[in-house]
Amino acid sequence: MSPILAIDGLSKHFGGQAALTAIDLAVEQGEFIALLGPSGCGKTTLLRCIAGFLTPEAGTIRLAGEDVTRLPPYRRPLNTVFQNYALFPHMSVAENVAYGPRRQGVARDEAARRAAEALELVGLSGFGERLPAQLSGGQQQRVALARAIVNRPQLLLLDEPLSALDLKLRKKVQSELKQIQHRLGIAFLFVTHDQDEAMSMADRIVLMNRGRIEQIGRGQDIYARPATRFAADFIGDANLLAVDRRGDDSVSLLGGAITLPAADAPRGTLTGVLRPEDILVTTEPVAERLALPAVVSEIVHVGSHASVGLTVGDTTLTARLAPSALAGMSVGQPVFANIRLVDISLVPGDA
Amino acid sequence: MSGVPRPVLLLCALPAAFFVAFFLAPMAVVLIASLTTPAGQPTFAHYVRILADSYHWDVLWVTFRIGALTTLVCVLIGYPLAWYLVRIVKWRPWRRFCVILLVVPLFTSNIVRSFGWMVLLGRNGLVNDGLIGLGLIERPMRFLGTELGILIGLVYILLPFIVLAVGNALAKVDPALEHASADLGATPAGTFRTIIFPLSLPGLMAGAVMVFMLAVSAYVTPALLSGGRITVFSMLIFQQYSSVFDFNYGGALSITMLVLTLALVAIAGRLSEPRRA
Repeated sequence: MSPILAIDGLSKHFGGQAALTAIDLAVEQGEFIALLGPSGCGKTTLLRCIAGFLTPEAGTIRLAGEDVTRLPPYRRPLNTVFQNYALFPHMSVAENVAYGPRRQGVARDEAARRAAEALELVGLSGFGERLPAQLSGGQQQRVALARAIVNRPQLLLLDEPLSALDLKLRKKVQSELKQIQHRLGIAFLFVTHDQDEAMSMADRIVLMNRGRIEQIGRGQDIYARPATRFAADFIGDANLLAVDRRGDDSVSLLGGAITLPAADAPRGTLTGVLRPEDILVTTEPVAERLALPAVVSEIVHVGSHASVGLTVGDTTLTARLAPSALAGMSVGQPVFANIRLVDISLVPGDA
Repeated sequence: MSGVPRPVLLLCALPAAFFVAFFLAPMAVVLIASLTTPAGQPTFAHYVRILADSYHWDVLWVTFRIGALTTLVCVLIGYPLAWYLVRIVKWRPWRRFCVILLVVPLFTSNIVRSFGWMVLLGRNGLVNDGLIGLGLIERPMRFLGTELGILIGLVYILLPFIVLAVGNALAKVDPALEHASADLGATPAGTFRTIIFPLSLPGLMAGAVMVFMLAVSAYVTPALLSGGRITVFSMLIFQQYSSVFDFNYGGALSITMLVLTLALVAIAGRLSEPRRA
């Protein structure tokens, strides 16, 4: 099966400032892709290039095999859910949703029928006569979704569609979106800066930073094996450890407390990545782990877990503990940070 | 009412007093005068005299025709001009310069500007010289003393109102709506027809109503450019007040004009209302 969206060597500048650099990306039919990154990383610019609102300086965009790089937005077979929904304020909900089919030359009755069908799919049957201003934010978001899927595009772009919703509602809409995507079999390209949202919804995450793609992969794979320092830091929490080279095939961390084989690691400077939940904090050393003597420097409760700061030599590590494991632990207490060497990944770049 | 603090009430009283003193009171004086004889007896005679006389109807017809044409031409020129300023000009200093160019004449007296047009539109004025120079006409055209001349003067003076009203409405249309429209398959022309124009319509209507009201009630420009050959309603009113000193009859003329203008504006507003309430 050929990819529904294929992007090759895409670059875009804004007045000499590189917004996108050499972007390559392939999206398969029916895939749910999250474009994840901090604000200003170029994810929205990429989305706008795909939708046709921006023209890249270099590279090609193919939709279902057809080169659409220079086509205007209205001739591209995809649809978009906009960040603030962009519902037409002077049209009823039904007219908003029927707008797409009407512009494609579908007869009024048939367009109204398709609009009703799309509204039913998003759970808004019976709201057709209302004006967008008479709906809640969540309902407007559904109308925007119905309007974007009514033409059954093969690719749907979503530009931070949930950012305007409150947290509870966002969780609910996340799972609904996922269900609708599954039912329709449309590929979703979903822009977000929220890593939890990307992790919980996407089949694959495209992690972007400074106009480049840092890593593409399943959320758990990026988490377990980050390709770059940025990927390690952005997805989940990470202890970033300075690495000293020791010849070509071994490195040392934590001022020589840890030595790791590094024959397969990338050249150049490296950073060690250790997830907080991979550190076991105990008062006695744990067998089959490397027990580093440490001092508790800080305890922060975050509800479901506690974040414990540990001083190991002149480095501070953060460990994540269940509240029950905290019993009897206090700041200033000497403990052991028990780690496994396999949990440390080496990525390029300075800590 | 006791919940409203005294300072707030006092603050509200000031504009209310201003409104009563400068708007309601003069209107009341005119209205009462129109319904009484010079001796102070109540009468409808002034209105009967106006409505029974076909001369008044002719003048009204000329007045409203000039008003409607002025509005139409202002809309036809003003909408594209507003579009140019809001949507096409990207360079801010140039846009600012254009807006200043548009607004500055409003600071000048109507009389001065209308005299300017008298010079320009005269037999040997710049307009005739230009048209002859271009070979478009062989002998000077008559502008002064024609409805065309008055129309040119009024359009020039009232154009800024429609440009500012439409420009304001166009600037408020969210660009995301156009993107959404294009995304759903609408061509730029389709987007204009179905999204931008309907959303700018309230601004266009507000501007058009303002231009129409100012055009039918204009006195200076028609008076100077008519050369005494064309009479509009405001001239009749002016005559009664300034030459004949018949304030009762003049008042009745004013009220007639006011009622007819408001009626026309109300009808236009009703016709242009969106499909749904």
